[in-house]
Amino acid sequence: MSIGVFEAARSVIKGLIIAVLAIIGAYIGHWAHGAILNDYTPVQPIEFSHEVHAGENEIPCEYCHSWAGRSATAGVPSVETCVGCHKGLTEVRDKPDVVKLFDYWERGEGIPWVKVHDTPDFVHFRHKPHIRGGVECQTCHGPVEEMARVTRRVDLNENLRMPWCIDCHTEEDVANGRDCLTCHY
Amino acid sequence: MLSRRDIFKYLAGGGVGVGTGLLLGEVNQRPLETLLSTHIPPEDFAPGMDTWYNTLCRMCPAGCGISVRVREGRAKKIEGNPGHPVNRGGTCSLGQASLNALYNPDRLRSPMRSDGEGGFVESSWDEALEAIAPRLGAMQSAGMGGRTWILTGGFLSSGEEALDKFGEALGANILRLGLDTPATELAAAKAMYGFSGLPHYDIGSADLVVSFGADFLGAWRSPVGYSKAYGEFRQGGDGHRGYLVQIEPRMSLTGVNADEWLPARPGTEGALALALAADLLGRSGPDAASVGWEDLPGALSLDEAAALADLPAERLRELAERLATAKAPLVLGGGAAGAGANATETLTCVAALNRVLDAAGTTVRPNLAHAPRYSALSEIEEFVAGAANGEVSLVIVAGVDPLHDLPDSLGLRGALDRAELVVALDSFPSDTASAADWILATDTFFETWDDDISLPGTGKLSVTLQQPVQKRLYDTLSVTDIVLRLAQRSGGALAEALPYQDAEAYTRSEWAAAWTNLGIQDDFDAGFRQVQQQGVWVADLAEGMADQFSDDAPAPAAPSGPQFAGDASEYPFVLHPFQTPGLREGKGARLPWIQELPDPQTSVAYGSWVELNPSTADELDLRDGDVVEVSSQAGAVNAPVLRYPGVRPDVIAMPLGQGHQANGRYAQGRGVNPASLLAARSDDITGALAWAATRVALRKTGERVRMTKTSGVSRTLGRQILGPDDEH
Repeated sequence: MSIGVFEAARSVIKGLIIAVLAIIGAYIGHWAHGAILNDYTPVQPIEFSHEVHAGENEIPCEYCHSWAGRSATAGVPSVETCVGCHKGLTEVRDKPDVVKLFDYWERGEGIPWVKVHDTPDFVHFRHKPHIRGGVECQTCHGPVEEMARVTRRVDLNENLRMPWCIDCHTEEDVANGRDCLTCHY
Repeated sequence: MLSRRDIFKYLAGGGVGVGTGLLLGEVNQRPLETLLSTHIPPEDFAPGMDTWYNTLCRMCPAGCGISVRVREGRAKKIEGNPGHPVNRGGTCSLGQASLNALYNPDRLRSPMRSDGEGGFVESSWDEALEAIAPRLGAMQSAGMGGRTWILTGGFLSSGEEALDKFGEALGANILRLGLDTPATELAAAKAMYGFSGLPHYDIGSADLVVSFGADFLGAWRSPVGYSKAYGEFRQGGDGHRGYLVQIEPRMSLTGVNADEWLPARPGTEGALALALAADLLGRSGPDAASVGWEDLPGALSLDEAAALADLPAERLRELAERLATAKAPLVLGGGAAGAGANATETLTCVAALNRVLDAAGTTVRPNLAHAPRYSALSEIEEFVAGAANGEVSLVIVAGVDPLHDLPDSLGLRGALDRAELVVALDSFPSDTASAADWILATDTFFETWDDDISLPGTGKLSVTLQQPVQKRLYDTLSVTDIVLRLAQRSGGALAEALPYQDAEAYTRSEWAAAWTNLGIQDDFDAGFRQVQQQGVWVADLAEGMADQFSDDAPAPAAPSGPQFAGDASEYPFVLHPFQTPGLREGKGARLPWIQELPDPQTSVAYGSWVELNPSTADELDLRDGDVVEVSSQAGAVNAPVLRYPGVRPDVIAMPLGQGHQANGRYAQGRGVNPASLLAARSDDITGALAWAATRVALRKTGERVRMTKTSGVSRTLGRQILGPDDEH
């Protein structure tokens, strides 16, 4: 009995097709994970709505994130800041998430917010020069005032990545804006 | 042609791919982090921005000023306070590592009560104070305060003064404990300079420093301050390079840096100093005239002294010549030379040499005429005897660890066992605290108020303020807070003596009282705020605060010969315990950075070792890593041998600080404690513990270990790095 060359090649080709299909599948799976199963919109310990606070009630960003123009980090407001306003807002006092807020207040605890935007440890991003340079918060964070639950701005993972930073630094002709040590030190 | 079978195969391949992709995405995703908001932020809270607070380092009695970087309400980094006169911006390894104490996983987080079986259970402050205060009140009103003993250290601070006031109101006995105390130096300064305090040694403006055993660059008194001064001494503004001679049986960090190292026989330093002084007196010249001594009876000639100290006579004559021609000589004495059985006599001879050289008043100057009084061995023995007779009801141990730092031969462990109630005030389950009935968890110095009068001396009055740089991490109180609360709860005379709400109120009131006493007219609140910013308050010494040196001290008598506990035939070697810059007497052992830090000379980390001269080691057939049993009259320990050329053949050297029985995971069971070998021998004059007066024997155990060290060998292996004559 003998096997023809074509016969033998066929099983190899079949194997190759399976491998190619598996690789394509892996790409699709990875993409799908980023697009659908991502953590860009994490569930927060309190369902705090920026849409209500920053959108409808037009509270300026820096009222709560008061360190953005002064420090490297914008900071999250203290529980005291939240309660400062909500003490007087009796009409929403019974909403479940406001009740949660007052629970934290009474227990004397901070609220463990989940980070939505986070640069890796090897990048030293500083809010202060960006805010002072007139960059709108929304440029990086997206239209937060329209978000009921904050989400990371994602355009096919292009945003908030280094080429995107460099593009802006180049366009705006930032002093030392293309120097490695400006961000990586 | 696609068969049904093939389609399934292709679908399965694609499916596995998609699954792998999803899984990869999940695995590669950065973990979510939380951003914890503050509850009520401190007033100076600024996320992402650091605030620097000037405060005091309490890791050793030098009292350096430090600046602590605080971010998000947490201490992050320590630097020296550049405006502080003692350390002038410098810090040492121990100071840098003190953050390890603050964040240590084994720190005590609340008061602890002994369960009677060697363990401890968490308790509350209410329960703890209630267990102690009524006893205090009862003892005080019954006039039985003498049944209380307070064991503390030697800081000159408001906090220590609170303990003093507490002890006085109670009628309690106070023991001031420590292994390496300046007790003998204080006695020598009194005898030779007529000065009650520690003199200020101006190393920076000297052109010749002769140090008898004082490792001032390593661990003696104020290494950071002296290192700064050493820089000036070597390359001062006028371009001179000072000459350093170190006389000690084991080459210390200072010895390594010296121009000459003279390994004198231990205990002969006083005779050497006196011989040099006599030789200088014999020469004509203005220096010899001003001291008012005709000659020094009993002083040996240089040749005799050289023979006694086992040094080449030629080197000693050269040294005498250098001393005679130096413009600004300075002689230091300390370390093991200040801890033999004849230590006070030794240091008195050293001080006499300074007087003959006219250094007294120029490079050795009056300082603040004030120093803590350290307990003599006889007082410790009194405590131990009292405990044995059942006369000790309460022992309060405040921030010291005598069961580790002091020799077992003193019998302190038995005394604590016999005392009715032992209360330890400590941040860690130290060896002593672990033997207590109650451990009252104390703050680290980052969390509370106190102060310190700089003792190493700057020739001025400088008081460093200790202020909290962050909130308390746990349910702890400072020693002062505990003393104040105990006093308040006990009522009566105790409450009257200490009517303060907390350590902050007490410290402020002490400072306010000091301002009044010193006649300062400025507004106190504004002045205190300024001190809080600068971290230190410096003033010229007012009239009466620094006695001038008197010139009428009689010539010193010849010192007695070297004496050691243990017979030379049975115990052939003299034990030379030394402090490393990080571990010191043991305070560094609980700090992981210090454990990791290699010793500067031997590069050994994480353990103990026995330094032997290579010739001695050859004689006993010992290689690096051979475990030997070191035994004395008082005890025995096992440790690996390290061949070290910088130690006399008749001396073995061991680092102090390790060998803790408790004290947290980093210290416990690591290395051995040479203090446990020390005999209960005291200095003949002051009665202070003579920790360098014990003889030991060596026995090879046959066991071998690999030591943790960063360097291979100390030899140059024929590469002639040290010049053409280099035969190492």
